[in-house]
Amino acid sequence: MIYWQLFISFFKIGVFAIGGGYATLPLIEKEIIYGHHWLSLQEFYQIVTIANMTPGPVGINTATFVGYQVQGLPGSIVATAAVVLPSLIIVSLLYYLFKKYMEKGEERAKRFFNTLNPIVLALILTAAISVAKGGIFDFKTFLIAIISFALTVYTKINVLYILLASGIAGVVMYYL
Amino acid sequence: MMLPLIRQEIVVRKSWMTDERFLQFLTIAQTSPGIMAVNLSLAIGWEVNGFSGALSGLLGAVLPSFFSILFIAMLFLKYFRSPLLRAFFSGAIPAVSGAIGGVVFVLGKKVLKGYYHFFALLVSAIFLVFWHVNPVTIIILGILISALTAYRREP
Repeated sequence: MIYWQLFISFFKIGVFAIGGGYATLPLIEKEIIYGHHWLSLQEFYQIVTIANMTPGPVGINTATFVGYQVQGLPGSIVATAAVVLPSLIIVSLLYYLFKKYMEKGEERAKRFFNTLNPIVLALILTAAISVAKGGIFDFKTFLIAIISFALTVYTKINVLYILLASGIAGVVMYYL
Repeated sequence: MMLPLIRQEIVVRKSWMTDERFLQFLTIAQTSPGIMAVNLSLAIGWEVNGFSGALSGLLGAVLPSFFSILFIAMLFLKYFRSPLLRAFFSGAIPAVSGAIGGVVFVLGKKVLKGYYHFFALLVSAIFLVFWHVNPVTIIILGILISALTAYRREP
């Protein structure tokens, strides 16, 4: 039945979504396009663009959209629920372990995280650079990125306002 | 992309946890299977209010995307090619990269101290960005090294 197929495909995508949204795209391609032929390659990249531009993680946006294309509203619900279920199971387990080990061996746990910190920050930095590679294509966009960086670090201005203002700046600079 | 928003809300505005604890959850969220933002919301939810907190966090993270995309898929798909919208995103997307970079900078300032940290950050970044090493490989290596240091014999 198609709901089951949707569920399995997106559950798999949810499990293998590690290391950042962009790393999961090949798997999504494999499942959605080459596996089930739910979308064409072109349609898929349109959705990825939209998923990047809308609020929320690429994985969720893609699940909702593909689910809807395949089986309407129920399809979007099944696909979205499937993609978050692995997180629910795994993170709940890890949280429990985290709490247990923080209690039993706080020093060790702290050392563990302490050693891992720079690596995790490097991973996130990679995400920032990915977005930068796609989004910065001239001096104006570079300026926006720098200003946004400075505002994020040195002020308490709500990030949403920064993004909104940047979007408006984009309209002023590129549309008008 | 949600990272700067989550940090601002959870650590800065609501002060529900310190940056150190936030980074620990971020670490778990990044290195475990599952969508990072969903993982992070679940972990924070557990910490703040147990199982119901986790569910609330999950719904909070998922529902806005879910409804926006449904809305777009049902009604507005045709408007996505509009030059106006593209211009808006030409401005917003570089801002996102700056904001994420900003969060890395702020968290880094707080927790990175000493030669190992800067060396590890630099090496990881080079592997990831220039040599396109699979992030999963870096994660596994990182966990192994961290586990070793955690369990080293006391001198």
